[in-house]
Amino acid sequence: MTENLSFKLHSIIGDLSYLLPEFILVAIILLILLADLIFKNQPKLVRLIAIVGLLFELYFSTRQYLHIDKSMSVFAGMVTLNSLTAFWKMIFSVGALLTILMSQAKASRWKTGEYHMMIITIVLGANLLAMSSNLLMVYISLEIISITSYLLTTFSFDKKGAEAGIKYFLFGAVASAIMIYGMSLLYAVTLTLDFTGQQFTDALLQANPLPVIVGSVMLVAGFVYKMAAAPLHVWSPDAYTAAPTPVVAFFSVVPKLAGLAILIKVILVINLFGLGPINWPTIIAIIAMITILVGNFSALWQNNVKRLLAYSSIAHAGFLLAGFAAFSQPALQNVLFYAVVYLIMNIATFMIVNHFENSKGLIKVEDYSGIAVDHPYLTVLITILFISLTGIPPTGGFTAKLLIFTSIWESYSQTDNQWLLYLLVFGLLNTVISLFFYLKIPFYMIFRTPNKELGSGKIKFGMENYFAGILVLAILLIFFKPEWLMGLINNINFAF
Amino acid sequence: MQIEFYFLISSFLFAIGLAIVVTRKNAILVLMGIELMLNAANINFVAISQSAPDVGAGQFFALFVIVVAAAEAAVGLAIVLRVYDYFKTIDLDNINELKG
Repeated sequence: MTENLSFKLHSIIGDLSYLLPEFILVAIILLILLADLIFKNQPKLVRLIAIVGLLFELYFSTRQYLHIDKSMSVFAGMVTLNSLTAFWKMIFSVGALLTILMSQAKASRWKTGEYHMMIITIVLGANLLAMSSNLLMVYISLEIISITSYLLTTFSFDKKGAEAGIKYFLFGAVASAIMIYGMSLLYAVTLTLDFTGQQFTDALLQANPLPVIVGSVMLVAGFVYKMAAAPLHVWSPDAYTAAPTPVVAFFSVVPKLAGLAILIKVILVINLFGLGPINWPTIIAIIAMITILVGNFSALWQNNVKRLLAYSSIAHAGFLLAGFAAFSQPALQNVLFYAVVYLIMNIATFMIVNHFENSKGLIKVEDYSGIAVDHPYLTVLITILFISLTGIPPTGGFTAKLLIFTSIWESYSQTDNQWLLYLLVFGLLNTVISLFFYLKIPFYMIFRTPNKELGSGKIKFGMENYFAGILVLAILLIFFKPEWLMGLINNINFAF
Repeated sequence: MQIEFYFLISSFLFAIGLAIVVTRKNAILVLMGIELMLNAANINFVAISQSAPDVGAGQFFALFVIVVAAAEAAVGLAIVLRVYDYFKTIDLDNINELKG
């Protein structure tokens, strides 16, 4: 027993270096807390620590991405490290960096130290979630993300924030309770928590189908909730309307993609190479269709810009799932491509929306009337971004949607699964529908007469607008040179 | 005792918890329902760990669930307090400013 324990401890100490990016995140969290305690009201210092720390973390994740060529099981089988998880970690840290850059303007009014600390805690949870290969690890990293998200939702410190917080919290707590009950059923069937191991797959193949079905559906429900995909999306419009805009931008990218990462990882296991009791490609295709439908149709009636973008992000979660429904390696590469494009265009949109909200108090779609006269540059940027969110050329959004639809078609011609064909037709139709609400805001900006009450005149041109400009350039570049991004993704070794 | 009894009792607890969550309007009672659901999973984990090759895993999972549930309840109660400050009620039916 002691021999065994000391062996385990040695192997854990030997593995410590593989978790360097996560250690850096923990160090930043502690540093920010300390800095906030010692030097009170120094938002600049806290931001500097957060940005420098995240750049370090990005650097080390990139090193992992470049140097790890095979899957490694570290920390006594709790986490797996490979180039795919390293790529997810790069996505998460870029998302957090952009969020911190855009939360500049309002930061002084918030509790800056806690705000940055929580953003980085979510990145830590997302990193661990993408890497985890043990159900216990999945649960804990999901809770790291969830508990912090509940708090961040209330960070506008007003009545609506509190309401959104309690709604998010109650839904989230129930979803995680359902998820761990599902985990306990799968544990009962397989007698192991390590879901990437051989024992787990073998036991599932031989087991009675009923507990396997109930357990895996309950488990997947927890991830679907985190992704804000239908039918577990109800919390997200409220949370997105009330939370501060940078937080919304962050929620719509990092926890969502972390949920997607673990969903892909778990479903590829419990699909049991197509021999399991559930036909997962069909289930995922149906979830994707409902999600796209709910997202797009609810967005049509929205008047509040943040709420509209919330529904748009639900629809995008549907497209990400649609890509995954094709179940092939090229399809997964296309999902990663879509995730990167979605990260860039969504955060850039929120940057501009945040800028308008802070400087002019624009909240509703009508408030944007005639903005183009005073702000031609921002109008051009936001128009390109909405075109990209719809998926029309010449933007990266078009390339990403095209790749997703291509992989669905290829998978349909190989497997003859009717649902994939429905999904393809449905996705194309919905792209057309989404035009109506995405182009509503540019329409108001350009063709309506300005609203006199809000006062015209130039507003201060913030630093974050330059970042938004760079991101828009990146979106255009992805359309003209998709092979640059695809080259990065092709380097990933999809060994599961 | 046969392991089926543990499964029965845990599924019973889970069902009660879910019923409380769905029917009750009071935020604190909903929290209590969630707690029941978590403990249902805990019973499963501890019961199964007896027959698993690695006895520790299931029991440790239950311990972790208890710890995380405590953290979650702390955050949840803080949010409930904040809601009470603004709305002067914790009846979930009356907390409905955000719509659409």
